[in-house]
Amino acid sequence: MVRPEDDSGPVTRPTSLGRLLNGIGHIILAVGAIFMVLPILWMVSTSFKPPTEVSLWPPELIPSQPTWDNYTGIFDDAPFHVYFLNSVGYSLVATISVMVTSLLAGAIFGKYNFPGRVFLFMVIIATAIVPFEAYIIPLYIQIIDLDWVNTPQGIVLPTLFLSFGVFLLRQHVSSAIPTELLEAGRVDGASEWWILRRVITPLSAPALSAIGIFAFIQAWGAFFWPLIVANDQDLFNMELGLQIFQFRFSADYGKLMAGSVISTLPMLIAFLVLRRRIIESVALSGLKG
Amino acid sequence: MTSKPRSGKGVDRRTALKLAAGAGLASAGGFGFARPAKAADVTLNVWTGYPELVPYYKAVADEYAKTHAGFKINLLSTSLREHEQKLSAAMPTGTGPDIFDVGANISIKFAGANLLKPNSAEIDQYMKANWSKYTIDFLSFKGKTYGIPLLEGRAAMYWNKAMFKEAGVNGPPTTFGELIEAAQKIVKIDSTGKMTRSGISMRLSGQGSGITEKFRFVLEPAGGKFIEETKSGKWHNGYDNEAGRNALQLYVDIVQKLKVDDPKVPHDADAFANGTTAMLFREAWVIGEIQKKSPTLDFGVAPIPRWDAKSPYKMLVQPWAVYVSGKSKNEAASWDFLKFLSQPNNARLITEMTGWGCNRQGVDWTPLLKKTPQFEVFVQPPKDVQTFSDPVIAVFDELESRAADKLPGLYVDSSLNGNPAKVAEAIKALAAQTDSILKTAGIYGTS
Repeated sequence: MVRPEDDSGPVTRPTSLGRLLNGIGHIILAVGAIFMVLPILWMVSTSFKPPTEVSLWPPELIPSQPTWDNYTGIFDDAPFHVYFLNSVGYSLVATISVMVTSLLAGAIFGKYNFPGRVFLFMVIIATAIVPFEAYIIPLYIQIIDLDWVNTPQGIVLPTLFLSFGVFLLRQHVSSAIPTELLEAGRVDGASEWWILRRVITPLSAPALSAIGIFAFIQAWGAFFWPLIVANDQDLFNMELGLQIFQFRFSADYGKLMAGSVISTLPMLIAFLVLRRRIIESVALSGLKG
Repeated sequence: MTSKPRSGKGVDRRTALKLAAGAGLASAGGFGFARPAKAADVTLNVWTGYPELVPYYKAVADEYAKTHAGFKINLLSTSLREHEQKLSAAMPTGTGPDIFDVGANISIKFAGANLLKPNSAEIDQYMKANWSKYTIDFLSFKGKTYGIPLLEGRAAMYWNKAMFKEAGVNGPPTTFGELIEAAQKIVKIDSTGKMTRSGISMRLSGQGSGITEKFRFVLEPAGGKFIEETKSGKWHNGYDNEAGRNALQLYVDIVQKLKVDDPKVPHDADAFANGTTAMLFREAWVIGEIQKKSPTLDFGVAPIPRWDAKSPYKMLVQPWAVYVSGKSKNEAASWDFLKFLSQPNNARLITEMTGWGCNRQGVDWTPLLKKTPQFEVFVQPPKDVQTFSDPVIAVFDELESRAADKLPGLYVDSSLNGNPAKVAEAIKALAAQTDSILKTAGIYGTS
């Protein structure tokens, strides 16, 4: 990685205007950070509040009588461990599938010439600009024909493929992997499958990570499609499971927030562990997650 | 080909990939295992848009199962909007539940599309024998009844006894004039001019049809109607008149002239429970919320005041029914369970467990009222209270939602303060929008 000071030339001292602008920038970012963090703090705080403290006015961030009841209560009210495992299962399956399919399609579109290649690629890219809501009904009818309503495979199906993943991998494979490298492999007698596994895959690791992280986040936060397809609460993911605390005109905010903390925690841990890779991925893909 | 010996220090990349792939496949495959079921079992799929009803449905199903071996319900609860979306996808495609509860504005769409069957003669007779004509009419479409009434939303006025006592007001107010007087004595403003306690919590902000619904809490006592039906079965606005102007003027006065409520202070049930307002118009479920969040609160519930001493009390009543899907494979079992569900002791149970009212006739409310007297207005309203309800037409939600987009802005529009001509102009424009939606729906008429 190139450090900024390696870029070129002598280091110049910032002018006072530069320092002022820098300071203003930091203040704006700090205020922005507070606004971003505050709802999370509020969520955590509310999850430890008894019902009598949840709607106090003026509101208090620190609970005066903190309790674990909301955390134990959510497991009494619903099989939250099942929802959690479902979320993990759906997200893992989606991530693995998106990585595999994106790699295969990306490599083919990026390095192989065949009639209709550009047209097919455009068709795949075009699907990325069609909003999910626009084809949800035909997709649901397809799921009915497959007899996959109220099944895990029906829930994960739309998350198994990602046209953006194909696009990203195609761009990466065509620009970052020299064709000469593949030619050298072929000259040495390597099969196309061997080249894919031993040359293209390792060299595509950064792009694959980006798309894997993106696919996981997307599958973890899925709500509308699982809502339509899952008729059995045992198939719910965390996002759907949280609804049971949302009543007709009110909500059990303590339990809702406790469930939200549990739902957010894996993503938070994953971010802390993988933050470097995630930031690189965001830079690579141009996505904000 | 020889494989490399394993180092034993950890899992190498290949093994990790195999494990990950294996886990993925196992997950995907494992998810698909069918659950064995006994042929004799009856399992009804029940969907509700009221998650707070889940314990009630379960309790009644457990009771029913004591006399019906092998009976189970597979209960699915989602919040109401999601429930309606789910039903909209599932009902036409035959992937819906056996039993579901939903508002009449949705059920008439299903009835119109033949996705719901009219009640059989037996169920029709059962309904007519046990519910008021009012409820029967509400749940009828083209002269036929659909579903069985489950609960009712009834709106009344909550008042904080301690605050009234502190302000020297003998509550509760019986007219809107008395209400304003009480609110002015109770409201608290700090030295900076900031309201710290509102005299009454009106619905001043937010989004969705609820804002218009709460506007009707004032409009109806004032003598108006949101929409009126003509003799020929057409509809037109019923508030481009003195009643509509009075209702809007009252809201504007409460916020701007009298300053007994403010959009910036907490509102609704939470505000009443935590003592930041003295009065609130709401349904019976608030009693449960107060018991949970502020169990020592000393409060009463009375009818929403009359416009003046000569006007009648008005109460919004919104029946909510439970239906058997037209495509259910367990139709007979479903209806039998619903009849059990609506027996008098179970009707009382729904109020006890959820706070939602029920107007099933023949229910002995004594045990409930002994425990929680505040329920009385909801389950045994005074005889001089006149009820009104939502018209059962498909566009009603749209009518309310579109009006609700504009009402909060009008409440705080300073040009309306002390300016009856502007208030009349605002009401006229709002009413024109209502009529326009009715025209688009093809149901507008004045005769």
